[in-house]
Amino acid sequence: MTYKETLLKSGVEIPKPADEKMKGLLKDLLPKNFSLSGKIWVGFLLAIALTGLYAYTLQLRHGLVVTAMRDFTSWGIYISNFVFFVAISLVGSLVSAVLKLSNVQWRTPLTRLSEIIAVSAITFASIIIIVDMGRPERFWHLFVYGRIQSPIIWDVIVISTYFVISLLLLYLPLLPDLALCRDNISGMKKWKKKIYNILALNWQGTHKQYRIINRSMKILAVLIIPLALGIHTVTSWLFATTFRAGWDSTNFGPYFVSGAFMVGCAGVIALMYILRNHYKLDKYITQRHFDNMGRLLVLLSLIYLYFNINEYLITGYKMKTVEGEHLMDLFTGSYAPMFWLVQIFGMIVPIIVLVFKKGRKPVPLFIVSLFVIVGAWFKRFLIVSPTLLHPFIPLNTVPQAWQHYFPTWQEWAITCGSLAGALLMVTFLIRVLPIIPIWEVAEEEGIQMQIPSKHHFN
Amino acid sequence: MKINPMKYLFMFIAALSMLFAQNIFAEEASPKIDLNLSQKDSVGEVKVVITKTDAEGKIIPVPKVEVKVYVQRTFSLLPVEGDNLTTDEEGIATVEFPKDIPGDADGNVTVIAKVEDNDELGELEASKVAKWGVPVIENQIVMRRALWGAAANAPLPLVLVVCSILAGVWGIIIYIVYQLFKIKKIGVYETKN
Repeated sequence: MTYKETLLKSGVEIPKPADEKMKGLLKDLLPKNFSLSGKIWVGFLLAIALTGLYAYTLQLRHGLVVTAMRDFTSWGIYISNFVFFVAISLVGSLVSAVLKLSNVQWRTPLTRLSEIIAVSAITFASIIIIVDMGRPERFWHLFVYGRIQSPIIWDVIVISTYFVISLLLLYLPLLPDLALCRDNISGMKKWKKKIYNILALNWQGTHKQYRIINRSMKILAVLIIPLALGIHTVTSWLFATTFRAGWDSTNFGPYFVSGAFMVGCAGVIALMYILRNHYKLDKYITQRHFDNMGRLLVLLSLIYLYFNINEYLITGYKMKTVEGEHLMDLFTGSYAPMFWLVQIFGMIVPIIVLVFKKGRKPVPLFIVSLFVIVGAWFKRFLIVSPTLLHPFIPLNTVPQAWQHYFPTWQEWAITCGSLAGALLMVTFLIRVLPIIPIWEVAEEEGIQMQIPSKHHFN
Repeated sequence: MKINPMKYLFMFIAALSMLFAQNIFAEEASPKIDLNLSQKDSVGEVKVVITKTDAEGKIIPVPKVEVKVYVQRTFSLLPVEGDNLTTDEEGIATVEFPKDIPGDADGNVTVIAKVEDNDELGELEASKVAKWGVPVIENQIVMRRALWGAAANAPLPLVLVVCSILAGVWGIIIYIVYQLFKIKKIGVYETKN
């Protein structure tokens, strides 16, 4: 008789929560089925994602000619979107690593949210880069024929590595919670229980297991900080290593990293606001969390403002040839409305609102966070496309269609589809995983967790 | 001596066949392109001769045929003469070879003469190697290890730095994955006991 059979024969015990507090914790924090609004939300995202998928099949059939990208604007909204995804994924390292190593206690309810955002964003960053390829079936060539001298290969390496570490940073602290799901979700289908059981890796909550988790998380927390700085610095080098107006800057690394932390922080704030209201988590995500995250966001916005001043003011003071033309196009030319809206509503307004305590209340903070997120997306567009329309050779001899760039409906559909896909992934993970680490909250509140004595294979 | 009529019939058929075959070959003889390279006062001269065989098996020159002369480059053919090179009454087209065409390390260039898409002659091609090019010694700069080199010529310090970082980071990842297996093993042991 196998070990599994022995266990089955010995009977299955449903572990009881240690006390009423634990019972309450489980009731509040274990994953819940979708409500009607949840189902509508998923249907809405699915519709957008499927439209994007259809547009992508058109692109696969006819090639990149269905996009508005031509000889000059060879990087359009796909790459802007890629940079946005990479940026927002940095929040995982901010909350799970920077705040953890700084011994910030209030971060506990936010760690899982930030890791879910990080994993979803980095997954779709990888997907969107394949979408940008004219020959996606040759994606593997990057790994086989790539030149180590090229920043593109550095980006491929660092993104793959960051993806794996983010996944581990999400998964490791999930183990005790997966075991709780395995043992405490009532009326769960057999196959679901089996998946929780496999993913929980025989978690028994022993001292040894906790010790391994804590040690591994500390190692990952230290490791992910340089990697997070690396991932976005290398992404900035894709631009900064070229001699192009608007990109030829030594400021680009910190400029990108600070912007990434800012949008990531706004992403967590927006998500925690929605989930707090939807799942009634006021007890766990409190006003204090919003206030602290608001303070963090204003700090990050100020740092980003500092790098923006460096980026635009110094270049604007010199106004060198094409660099000057590019800047004038941003300041007063065709991109001026977008540029000033992004700078004002995506950076200045958040700073002004968030320095006041009233501005850091949940509702204004949520609205400001949405401004920051939308502003951050368009900011990436302003970094990528206008530069490509300011080459060093004269543009007047090339076809008219090459001199402007406005994305086609296929590009919009694919881009919106990828954003919807990332949100779907976030929604799915929220549906199946405890949003707030139950065991960490229990530990902080001094609740003794009862360890199940046997596994449940059925 | 007895005469075998079959033997004479066979010889007659064989003779007829040979005659017939000769006619067929004469009719089907393909047009020909010849490429002659000569040098006069250090100037290379490319002479292209186009001939064909007429119905009587006689080789005759083909006049007014457009001829193209090229030099083989790495990825394509470089035209030596413009569009108006045609054969004269003797079926000959002559063109002077430029002095500034880069060749290999010994100055060798491959000269190619072509008749392209001609209604009467179809496609014809001939090529010869001549030492008329400017010797080009391969640029050693692109061959050495550098940032602009091929993948195999990456600078060693860069390769070492990238490999060390990768080994370090992925070593830690492998260690963490090993820890996950350890957690599972501990769980199994605890359940058993």
